[in-house]
Amino acid sequence: MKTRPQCVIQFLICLVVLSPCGPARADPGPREASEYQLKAAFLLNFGRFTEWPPAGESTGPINLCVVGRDPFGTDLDQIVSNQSIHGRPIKIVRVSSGAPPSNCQILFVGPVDKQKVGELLSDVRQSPTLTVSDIPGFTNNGGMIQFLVEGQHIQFLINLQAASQAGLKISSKLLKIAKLVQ
Amino acid sequence: MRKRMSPANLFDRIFKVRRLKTKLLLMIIVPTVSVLVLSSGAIFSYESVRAKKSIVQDSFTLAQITASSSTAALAFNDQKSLNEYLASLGVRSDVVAACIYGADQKLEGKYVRQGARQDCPQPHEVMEDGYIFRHGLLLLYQPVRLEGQRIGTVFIASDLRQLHEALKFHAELIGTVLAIAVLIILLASGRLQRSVSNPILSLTRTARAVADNKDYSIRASGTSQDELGILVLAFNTMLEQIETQNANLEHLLQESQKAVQIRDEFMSIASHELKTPLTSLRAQVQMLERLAKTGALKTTPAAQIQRLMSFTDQQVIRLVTLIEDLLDVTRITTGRLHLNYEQVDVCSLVSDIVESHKAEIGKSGSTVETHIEEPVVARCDHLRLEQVIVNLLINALKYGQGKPIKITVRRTNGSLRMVVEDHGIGISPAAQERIFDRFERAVSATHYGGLGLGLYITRQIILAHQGTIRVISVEGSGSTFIVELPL
Repeated sequence: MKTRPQCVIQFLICLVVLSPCGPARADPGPREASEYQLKAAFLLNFGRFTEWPPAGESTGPINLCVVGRDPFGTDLDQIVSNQSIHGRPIKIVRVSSGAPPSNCQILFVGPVDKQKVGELLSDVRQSPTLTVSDIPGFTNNGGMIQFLVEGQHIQFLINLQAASQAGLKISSKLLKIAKLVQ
Repeated sequence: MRKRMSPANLFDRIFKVRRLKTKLLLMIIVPTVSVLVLSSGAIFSYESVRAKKSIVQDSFTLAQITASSSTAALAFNDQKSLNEYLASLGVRSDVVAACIYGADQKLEGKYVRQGARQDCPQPHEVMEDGYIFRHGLLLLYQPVRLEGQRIGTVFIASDLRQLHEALKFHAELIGTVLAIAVLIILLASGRLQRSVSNPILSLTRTARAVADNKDYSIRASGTSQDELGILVLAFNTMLEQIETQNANLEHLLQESQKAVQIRDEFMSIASHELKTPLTSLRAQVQMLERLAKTGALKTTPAAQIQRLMSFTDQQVIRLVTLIEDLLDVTRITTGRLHLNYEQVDVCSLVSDIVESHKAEIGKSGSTVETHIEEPVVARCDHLRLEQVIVNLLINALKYGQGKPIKITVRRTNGSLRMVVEDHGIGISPAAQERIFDRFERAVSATHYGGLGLGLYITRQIILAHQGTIRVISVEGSGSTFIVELPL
């Protein structure tokens, strides 16, 4: 028989990642994942389908920065713990709202005002940072990936141009299943 | 219980078949057809294994590509994309079902060809990675991995109809080739078999016919250049030799029978010839004895006694001559005829002989005329040459019917030619061939006396001198004997 996840966390990830149900489901069972558990798993998988330009510190951890209000709580920590992206460990960095984010490979922008989004994006424009957010219009403003909740499904938009400009390569596999590629 | 027949016994039994043709055919066909069938079987097995391996490899490649392309869709739980991926596999006519399961073996994507007899297995039916052949389908499971972790399983069910059709085609092809090959073998083996068996069968028939009929004139047929041809040739040569030997033996038998017959006749003649002078001698001796007893011997006139003694002497000479002839024959046949060569004046020899045989000539009534052109001296045995001339002269007197006899002696081309010609009874052409043989005579012994050795001894003496003798004769008109001797 095929191998089952060896540990509880792995089982949870698989469950969360592969569960068909969405946040709007009427009667979520105890095993069904919440919207942000799913989004946390998506965030991890975005990293897995993205290639960063070769840099000096390519064996160090992938910094997953969260800026603005953190909607994940402890879910993100649980989901990414013991996981890796391209063989590199993942480190969650929560950036205080005052300081500009630096040395982030993935940057999740939590709910912030529109002006702040522009500032954050211009802060990381010179560095290869995969920017993700569920703020509406994020990709239109220069963000790279934007979550989109449709019915029971979580989908995403990709701004390929922004990613390319930052020197990132997003896998065609990911582009194929994106709702929209700009 | 019936005893089971081992392969060796079966083989022996087959080869106990009496007919050579059948054996040869079996010898050709059994190994070749066995090799053909075995090699065809091996080719088919190899092809079958190779085709299966190929389809497994092909399906694995397809499953790996599917697994790789569906990683993102599976990771992001995009069932629509998964279904689209799987549906694209439908272009492959052998794919009847393709399914993707999540890490928890829940069915996430599915494609099943319309009318297919295979559906996606239920989660509890999902088997280990790898493949299995079942119910004419190849079922294959391939893991989907992301970042080293298993996130799902791809299942592909492929129809083996194409494989089976390909194998069927192969089987038919091999079967056809096999059938044609067997046909060719049968045709060729018939011919090959005949090329070997026909000469042997011909030999057998000939040998049997020869043995049954004792007919050695039969010959075996066969013209091949191989060992069998040589055998047939040798057999025919052997028959030929036997035939020749038989003919020779037959000839020898006839010869010996004839010789025995001639010898018996000779014995009879010889006895008679020897007895005649002995009877006369006895009569003379008895007369002398009677005269002596009665005391009349003293009163008998000397002339009468002398005549009596002369007659006795003639009989003794006749006996001595007969015995001399017999001794000569013995000398000739045992190779002990020795010649004492000397220079002999043949002309005076002939004249002397004619002179010394005046009495016999006078008694025969013939005249003897000698034609001697010049003195001829030859190197020969004087006594033997004399014997030759006397023999020929006596023969001419004997068979000359009192008609003139002519003796000619002359030199021709470095040789001596002597011709004795009479005009008597002559010799028939058949008799001319055998008068020079031993114990042969051209005429009946009853009418003409003699042992029939004269001409035989004459010829042997002439041959010993490297000369020749021949006769020219017309029956009823006389004979001419021609002797040629080297000088």
